[in-house]
Amino acid sequence: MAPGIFLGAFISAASAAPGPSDQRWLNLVHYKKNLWGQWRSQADGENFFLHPQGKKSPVHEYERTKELFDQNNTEAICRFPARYLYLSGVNPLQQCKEYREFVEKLNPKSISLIFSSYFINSPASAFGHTFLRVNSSKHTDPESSKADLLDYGINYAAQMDSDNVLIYATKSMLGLFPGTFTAMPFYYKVREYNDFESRDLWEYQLQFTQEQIDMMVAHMWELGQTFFDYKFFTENCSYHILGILEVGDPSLRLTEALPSLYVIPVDTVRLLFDEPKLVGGFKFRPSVLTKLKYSTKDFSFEKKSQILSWVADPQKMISELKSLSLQDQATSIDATLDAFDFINAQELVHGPKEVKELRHQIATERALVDVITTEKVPAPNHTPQAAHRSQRIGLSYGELEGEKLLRLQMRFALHDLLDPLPGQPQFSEIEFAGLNLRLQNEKQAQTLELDRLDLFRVSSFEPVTAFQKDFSWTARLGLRSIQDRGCVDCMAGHVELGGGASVAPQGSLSFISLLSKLELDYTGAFAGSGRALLGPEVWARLAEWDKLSMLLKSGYKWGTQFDQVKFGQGLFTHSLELRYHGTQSSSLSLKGEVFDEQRQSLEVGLLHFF
Amino acid sequence: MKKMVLIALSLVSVSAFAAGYGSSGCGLGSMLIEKDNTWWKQVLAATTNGISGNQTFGISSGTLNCDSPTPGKTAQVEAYIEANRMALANDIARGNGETISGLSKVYGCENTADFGKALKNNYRTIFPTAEVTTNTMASEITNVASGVCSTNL
Repeated sequence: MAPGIFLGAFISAASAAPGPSDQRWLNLVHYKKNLWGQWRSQADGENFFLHPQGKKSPVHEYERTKELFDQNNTEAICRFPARYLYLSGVNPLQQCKEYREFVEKLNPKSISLIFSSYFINSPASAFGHTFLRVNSSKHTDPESSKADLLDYGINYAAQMDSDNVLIYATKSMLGLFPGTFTAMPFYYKVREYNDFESRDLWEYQLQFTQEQIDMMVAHMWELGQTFFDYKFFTENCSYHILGILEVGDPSLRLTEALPSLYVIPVDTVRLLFDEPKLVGGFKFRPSVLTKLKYSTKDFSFEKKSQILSWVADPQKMISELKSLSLQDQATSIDATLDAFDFINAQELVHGPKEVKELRHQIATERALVDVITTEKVPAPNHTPQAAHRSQRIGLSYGELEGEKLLRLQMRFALHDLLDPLPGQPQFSEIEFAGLNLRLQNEKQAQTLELDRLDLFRVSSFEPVTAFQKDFSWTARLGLRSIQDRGCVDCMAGHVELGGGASVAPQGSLSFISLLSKLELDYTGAFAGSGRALLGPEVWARLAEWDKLSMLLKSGYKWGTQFDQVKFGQGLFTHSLELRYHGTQSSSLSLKGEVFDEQRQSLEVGLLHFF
Repeated sequence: MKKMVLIALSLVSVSAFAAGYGSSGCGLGSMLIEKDNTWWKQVLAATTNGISGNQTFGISSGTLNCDSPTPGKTAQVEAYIEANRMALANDIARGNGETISGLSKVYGCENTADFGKALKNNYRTIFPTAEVTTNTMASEITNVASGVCSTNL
């Protein structure tokens, strides 16, 4: 034991002289250098600064703050308790009543970062969301997890003032929404994410000292009264949450480690694990769908159908229950309640009284059965921190119709159907800015050509089950080089839309999907400047092993030039891709493609996630 | 549906701009959130807002009624019961669960298992109808707690 050494290190870190260029000061006022190397605070509310030049000048802001604090200016001290704690070493609880009430309400003993995962059939949610929870008990306290519903969540979100989709899209792209911090009881977030949206929550316990926690809470108070322009790709929820952690422990370098173009919440979770000893453990809080899957995992199809009929008709349930043992009655009604809550998640909040009445009948019946449910849904093996990285680069070599080719590909985010599944949406894909280039020998000359540019590609293949009746769909927008006989190597603006349904074996990640698909190509090479292709497609994914995945797509399409009304002769298209996930960050790929009867390709390549 | 979002938005913005957390007691409120899985809205959401992690169509609005001053313990219990109404009905019917643990802490119950059992036995008095008021639920739960816990409410 050498407590002296530990204490010494602690004191020296905490007592490094405060000053305008001290990292702790820069963190507190959220100063970052801009492209020209000048300091700018990311905060956009004027009241976050005490000096008129505060946004641009760490020195002016520091001096003005110190001056006001030296005058014992209560207004300034109570607005900036974290700055005061930093400069004077005293937490101004005595002096500031409202701040004291805030701290008493939170009663901070530990901090958790909460990650909300995607919700089904909603690829957009794949990016997830993060927020903090200020716990009123220590993680080491065995009672801690019991009452964390009552703890407070600290959330950063854009305050949107429009529900018009187009206005919304425009404003969000331009960063015109203010982002603000709010504090609310954690149970609101649980009801929202777990029950209403059916998203699992992962809770990461972070290791901070009490001093660090007090500093972070004081800073949360400061943040609560200002706003930041909400930048959807960079300064989003996850970014600013990490900023709070850095105020607690200035040795953490979290925001700097983030990619500069965009910040994806699931990436920030992985980042926490890169810091030694920051994450003390994690806890899983299942969504209503995860609960339902768990409570019906041993049920036959007939039993599930029966549960479904009970959801619609509780009186049927009450009469059919009589033949079951007491334990079976309990598990059956538990599953019925879970199914009811999942199917009627929206109606229970917004819907008619009748929905609540039906639910009341089921729950009342459950209360009469003298069995207490103690089973808990276990955490899945696939954790968000195990998710593959979002950016992907690839190199492959092969042949296209007898010509050797080298293919380069780059994708900014996030996941396709063949990428490793841990921690990612299981039946969705969402890709942004996918670039695909071909280097080829053509007529004795080397050419580098654009093969594809996907602005986005989003698909959802949630399988139909007894309880879920989700529609499968895919959408794609970008440029492509046409490879079929319609116009070989013609560059075209390309849109794809498809819809259908998918099925999967129980509990399996493999699925088969039948879609009807429309493709539009806009290019001057066609008369009427474009063509439409329409027809059925089958997609089948095999994903029975962690390391191997396979995707087959097969389709037939009738096509037309835009100036013709009649659809012409059809095209058969097929592709088969196999991926072997050799390591956490790289996969081998083998892909064969038939563009039409006359034109085929075969490629082998390596994909790397970073 | 549009109306719902508008209500949620107005509530969110009112509470959010109300001078920080200072005035926010955070009281009762149902959650007005719209989940919309229409594919084209999804595409739009994905391309504009996906990375934010703040769903276009899943706006959170927990902090309702935030102009009420720091609420007393009774108000806190009622806010808790109101927001957790459905989960509480499930847990009480089953005699066990997280929302019961939360109540247990509020009432200072030593033995959560006994409390859960007692709540289950009194399910029909706590939830006599689907439309029972929060106030009634709260007082019935308090009755149960006073029998089992050393409550100080």
